[in-house]
Amino acid sequence: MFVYLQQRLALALPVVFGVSVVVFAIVHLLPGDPVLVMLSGANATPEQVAELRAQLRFEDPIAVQYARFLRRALVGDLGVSIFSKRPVIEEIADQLPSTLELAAAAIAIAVAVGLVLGILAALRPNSWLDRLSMLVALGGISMPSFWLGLLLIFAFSLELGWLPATGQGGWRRLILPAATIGLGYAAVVARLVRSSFLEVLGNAYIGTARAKGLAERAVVLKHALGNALIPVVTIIGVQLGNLLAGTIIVETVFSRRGMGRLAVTAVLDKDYPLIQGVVLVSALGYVLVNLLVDVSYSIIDPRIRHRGGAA
Amino acid sequence: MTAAVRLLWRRKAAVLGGAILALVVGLAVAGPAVTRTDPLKMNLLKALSPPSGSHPFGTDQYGRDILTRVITGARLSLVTGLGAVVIALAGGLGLGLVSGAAGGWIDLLIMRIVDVMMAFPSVLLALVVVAVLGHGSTNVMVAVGVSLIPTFVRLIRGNVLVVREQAYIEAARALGGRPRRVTLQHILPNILAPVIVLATIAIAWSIIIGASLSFLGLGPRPPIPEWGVDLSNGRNYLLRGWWISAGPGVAIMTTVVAVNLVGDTLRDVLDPRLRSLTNL
Repeated sequence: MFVYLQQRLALALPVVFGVSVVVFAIVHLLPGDPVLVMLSGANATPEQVAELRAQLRFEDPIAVQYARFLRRALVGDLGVSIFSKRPVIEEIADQLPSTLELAAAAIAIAVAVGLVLGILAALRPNSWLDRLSMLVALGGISMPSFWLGLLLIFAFSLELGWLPATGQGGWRRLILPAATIGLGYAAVVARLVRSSFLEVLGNAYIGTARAKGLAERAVVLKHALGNALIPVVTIIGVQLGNLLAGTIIVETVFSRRGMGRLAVTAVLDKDYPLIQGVVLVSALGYVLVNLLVDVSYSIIDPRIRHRGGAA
Repeated sequence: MTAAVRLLWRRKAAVLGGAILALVVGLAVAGPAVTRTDPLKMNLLKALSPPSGSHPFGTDQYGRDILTRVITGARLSLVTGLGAVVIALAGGLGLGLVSGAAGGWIDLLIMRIVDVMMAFPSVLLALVVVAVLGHGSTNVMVAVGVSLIPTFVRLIRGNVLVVREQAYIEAARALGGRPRRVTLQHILPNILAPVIVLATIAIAWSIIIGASLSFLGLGPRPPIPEWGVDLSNGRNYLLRGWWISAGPGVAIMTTVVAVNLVGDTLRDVLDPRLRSLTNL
């Protein structure tokens, strides 16, 4: 287990290095004078321009600048937002909990709805239930999240008045945005659970379980479910990145605080230190989550660990 | 290939998807010839009229005809979707073929770059590209295209690695074919099936990501008709004019469903191993 963890960490390190280079490069790839571009949205005075120029020290060799960027980032110094004048790390710390809350709720909805739909479809393949759930799944995959979000607001806030449409705080304000992201992924999970379940149900040990007289419920829940879930765990890991991307859009639709909204505002305002900070933290978070998913995957399915250890 | 076309024709879902796509593309190309009205023409007397005979999709807060804007907007949305896939395909083929065929340190380097790109979820990567290039519809297209390159590189390289071990490639090499010629003339045609499938499904992703970026205000600016922009415009009028968002919303969804129907069937016909693709 420890060896496997070491191997995965060794693979993640170059990626982390690459991410830091990309984030560092954002400012340097800007066309024209980066300082002027960075301040173009802010109506800056010449003093501010001079101040930023002194702060960023673009005249230093690029390697020196990168080393400085890395040294500061390692101690959590991601610069100062051009607009709010607050340290970027504080801005991020303010927004991150809201996004994590949204992501966790979305995953819960995706897994719960996806599992039920997928299992129902697999137990009666080619029945109307199967077709219906796969039709719902196709709709979920083809539905842009901003459109689904508006539909949910229209139905549950404006027409029925059951839930608040926007804002922060309490589970009632969490349901609609979490459902917007979660239902899309429920569709993906459902399709996968269905195919993985059908595959598992065809195995000899399922036949054995049935032959020894187990009730169908026990066969499904005890013998099939666990094995069918293995690919589901991976896909949830793979999908986490898209889930993060989903929060970018959904937070805007529901006017919720969070990293996604922060990223969009930063890009619209051309607040480059803030863009760099948000992108760096999001990408590193994604790398970390993938690492955790891989490790948990190897705990659920020990074959992976051994295959990895042999390679 | 003709066998594939015949198989496609036999599947109702693909025929339905193809028909919808043909209709959308036809309307987008015909554009002004069908709509007759100007998508930018305001008429405040008719502002926020619900769907009716003269305005089948209703009008927005400036009295502009929504149906006209949806049809005109199809151009930009389709061009963004297709253009992004062309960019992703070009980048993916270039890097994937070189990576798979060359092997060694070149392969290692390209794959590490792809790993880094993969560390950015697609919308975030697209956001980074827009942050560098600036707003606008062309930049959104480039951004979406770049964000899809890693997926194409991985698929293409993986298939090249399988094909290059085949006996007929060995034979082509033994006959003195140069690496470049072997790659382009012998490997490339044999990996096209999965690439076509991915490219088709990627059109659906591109339309959604492109419209998302426009929705966030990073794409074309109003009053340019575009599905994402128009959908966002209707956000503040959900109670008084739900139809403002409904027109472009239904248009995006119908088009994406149609692309997915064709893509799913293409996958089943050309390369059933790619089943996991729809789950990406």
